Amino acid sequence: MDWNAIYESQIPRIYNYFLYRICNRELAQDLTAITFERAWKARRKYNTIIASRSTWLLGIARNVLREHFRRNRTIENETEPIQNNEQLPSTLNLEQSLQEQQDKELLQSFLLELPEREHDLIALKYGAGLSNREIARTTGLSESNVGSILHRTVTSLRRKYEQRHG
Amino acid sequence: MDDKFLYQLYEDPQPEFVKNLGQKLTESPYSKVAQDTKAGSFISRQLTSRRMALALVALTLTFALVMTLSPAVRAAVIDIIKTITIRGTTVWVNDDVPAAKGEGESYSVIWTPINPGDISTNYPDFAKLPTWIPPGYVLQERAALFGSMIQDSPDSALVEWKNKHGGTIQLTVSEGSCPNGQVWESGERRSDCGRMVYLEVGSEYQPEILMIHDQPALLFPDFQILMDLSDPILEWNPYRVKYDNRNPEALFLIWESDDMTFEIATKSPTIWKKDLIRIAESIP
Repeated sequence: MDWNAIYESQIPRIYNYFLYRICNRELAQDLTAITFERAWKARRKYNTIIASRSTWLLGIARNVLREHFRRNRTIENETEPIQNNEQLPSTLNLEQSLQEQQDKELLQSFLLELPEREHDLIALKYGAGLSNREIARTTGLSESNVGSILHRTVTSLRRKYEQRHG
Repeated sequence: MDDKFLYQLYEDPQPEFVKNLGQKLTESPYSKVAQDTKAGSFISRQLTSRRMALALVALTLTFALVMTLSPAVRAAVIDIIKTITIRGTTVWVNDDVPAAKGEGESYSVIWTPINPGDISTNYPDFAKLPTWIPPGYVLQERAALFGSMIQDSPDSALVEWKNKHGGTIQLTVSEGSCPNGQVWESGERRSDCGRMVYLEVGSEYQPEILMIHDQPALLFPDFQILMDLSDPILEWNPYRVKYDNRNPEALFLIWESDDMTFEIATKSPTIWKKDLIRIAESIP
């Protein structure tokens, strides 16, 4: 197994899965680190489970998240808006940057209101970048069920987003 | 479906974080990496062994394994001292399998509660009840059906018996087998093999090869893998198991017959190998 290749290719996927689930950059990093530590320790046995790297790692990631939720009954006190903190915006871009920030915060608030299953599927689709078929393998749902749940959820989110977004 | 707005949260992880984590993983693989990267207390509790968990996954996600494993991948396992293959079941014997006891949970396998009578009525292919069970054991009203209930096409069913002393017997009947021989032959997977099971055991807990109805079977001593059916019923029921690979009261038997795979798992100080064989052979 080329661990470095797996690490490089999969860390954005795992990190963004957590980011979409908990909407907190620092916590997403923490949980990503735990996930890769477990994967690292289990890497020699990687071949005994489903051989898709993303499915393997996301299986670990989802367990890590469940353990985190169990220990922290609510995530409300840990959730904070993801700030665009890479650099300060220039004056010309200030308005646009503020708007983008507000859009993100709005979307995060909608995601955090979703039921567990819908939120998980959204994170797997848009954070981890899985196809509906891969999500079905990861979650045990049928592919058609994944598709219909996602369609319903995205439609609902878009409606709320557009209403609030104006 | 217009979903572009949902991509706006996506971002690349910070390069410094990626670099630091990568270095810590490769430089000190057994250190508490996550603690070093501000994970706090989340890291502390893990299963005592991943191996048992992997075995559990292997037991239940067999169809997926059919699609994905290859001889080259298997060959990458470097510390296997012996491989036992009986039909679709492969056992890796390893000197280095630690004791593993606890509970595992997987949302990758979802089950639906069902009454055993309803299995007989609606899914007769899985209604393979033995005609003999040790005295004192009562068939439980809650059984489990696995597979896609949306399409009404289960691929596996589990029924359970218990006695008043806590003894448990579970029988799982699953679609699929490898009727014409082992899964891998001459480096290629058999096309007619619909089910594969992988297990890893310590060298002192190697399975015994038996015959059940003239079909080869594997009997694992001290190997407990019992599904927990006691959860309240939810929309999604995770597959939860209580496992212990050093339990002298536990036995596990697996064999194939008529394009089905049968598994019997027991935990009781009064169920012996001969009882297990008798249960198995009483299945019509």
